[in-house]
Amino acid sequence: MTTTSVETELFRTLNDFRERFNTNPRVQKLIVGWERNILVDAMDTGEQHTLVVKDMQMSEVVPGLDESNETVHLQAEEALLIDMFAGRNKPAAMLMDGVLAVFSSDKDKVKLEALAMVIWGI
Amino acid sequence: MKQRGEFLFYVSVGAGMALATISFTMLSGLFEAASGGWVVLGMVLGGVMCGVIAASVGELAGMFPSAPGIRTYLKAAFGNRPSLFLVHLYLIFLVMIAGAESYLFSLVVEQVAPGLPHMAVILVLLGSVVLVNLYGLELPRNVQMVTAFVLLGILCVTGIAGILAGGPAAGGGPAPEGLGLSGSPGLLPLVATMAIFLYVGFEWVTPLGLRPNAYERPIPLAMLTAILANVVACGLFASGMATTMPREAITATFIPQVPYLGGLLGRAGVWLAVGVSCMACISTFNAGIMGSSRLIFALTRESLLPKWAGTINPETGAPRGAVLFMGALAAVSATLVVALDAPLLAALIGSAIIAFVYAAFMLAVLRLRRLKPAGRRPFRTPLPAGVQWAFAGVLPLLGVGTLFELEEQYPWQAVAGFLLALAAAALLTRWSEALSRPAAAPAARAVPEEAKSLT
Repeated sequence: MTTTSVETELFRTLNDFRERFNTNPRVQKLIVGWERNILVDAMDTGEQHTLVVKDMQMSEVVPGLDESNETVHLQAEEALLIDMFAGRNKPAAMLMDGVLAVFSSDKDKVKLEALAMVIWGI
Repeated sequence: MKQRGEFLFYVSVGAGMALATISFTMLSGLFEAASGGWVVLGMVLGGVMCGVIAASVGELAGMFPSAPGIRTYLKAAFGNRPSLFLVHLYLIFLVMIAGAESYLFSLVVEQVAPGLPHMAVILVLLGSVVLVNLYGLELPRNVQMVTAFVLLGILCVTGIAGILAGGPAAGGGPAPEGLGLSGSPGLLPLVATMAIFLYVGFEWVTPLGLRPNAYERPIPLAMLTAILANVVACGLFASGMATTMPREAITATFIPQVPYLGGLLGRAGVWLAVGVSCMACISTFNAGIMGSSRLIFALTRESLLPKWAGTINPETGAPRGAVLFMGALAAVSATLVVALDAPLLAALIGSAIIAFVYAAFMLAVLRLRRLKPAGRRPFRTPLPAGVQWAFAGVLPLLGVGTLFELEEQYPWQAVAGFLLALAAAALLTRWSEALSRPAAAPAARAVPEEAKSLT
């Protein structure tokens, strides 16, 4: 498990995303009963983080991959992950282009795209 | 999910998608084309062909794990337009099958509830599927697995029972032909291509990997296992029918499972046939046909379909627009199939379409090896490139050949339907391209004149 102790751009972007996630009322509707560990895995740099979604909140951004709960595993190059969590790229389009891999149920993939839609309006 | 359970889940998706009510109609079509022995041999050969294709699909899935296969693989290999064309062709295929599948379901229901209008049964079925999907409900994985494996088990057991019965189950009339090899062996490749239809859907497992290393061995192996399971189950069932039913009786109906199981088990057999058809319908609709609404949703997110097809349920995130779109198209397709009374025609056209799509997958592997030689490939098809080229070349020819396989029954309709599907896919491709263009246009206009002059 690769961890990171310094605040990288990806880490900062994920924290910004967490803020938006937790303050958006439409997100709250979408995540009723949805508790997942979202694993963010930058393939080119090895940087890895876990976004913990629990009790209707994204509680924290944890360094490394925490697979203790049901997971949604996202894999891509770091720059693309940053663009996605900053709202510059749609996950579905990235998935279609084969530059993002999402290891989860089909339903969770749609949920991620729905979250991108309500958070970024894209 | 433990690894063994995970592997069984992958197998159940591949096998469950393939086992549809229309599979029995295709069995009837196979017996129309050839005698029992050739049918079973054709089914085995069709399974081998699918195994070859699955190995190629496994390599592509490893390169683009979790991607919605057809769009991603073909876009990476051939670019946007050819990929879009084949995606639309595939969607047309799915819509056609959704229509045929629901009509066949209504025919089966008629056996135990005569008098119910077909369209009413179809609309109730499609309406239920749409509602379930609108609310984002999903069949739990375990239920999906049990449904697929119980279905496979029933086909095997009743197939063996028929073989052991060894004579006509229903008295009188012409004698069954059994597994004799009467007729020309030259029919075998075309029968095998038709039989591929029985296994279509094994590739639906490729976007569903639950962890990265699922693409190294479990998913490629699961596709092969699913195909093998279907070859055995459908082969035994077809052998049972050939042993106990005269060929004319098999080909006289679109739902030969009903007279076969009825002859074998009496009234209980008819109910079993209804149960089998229900399970087949559930596994196909659950894993695939309405799942294709997610492909429509993703295409919408790429601005390749109108925005309304990308609306979501604000509480579940379920792709509401895409589900309604797919449901409406399936209802239109079912109306056409009912009006024409031609589910077998849909299956024939579907066989030809799928032969082209599978050939494109095989070509994509070869082209990507040239375009991206260093790309990650956790699984490589063990077949030599020459064999892959040969398959990719022959498959479309065989696909076109199947359109003439039931020439007496459909002298021109299969060819016309196929050409119509190609034309519709071409039109839809142009439409998608036009829809995606406006987003790029403002950016192009935004370039100032002085900047242009510098270039």
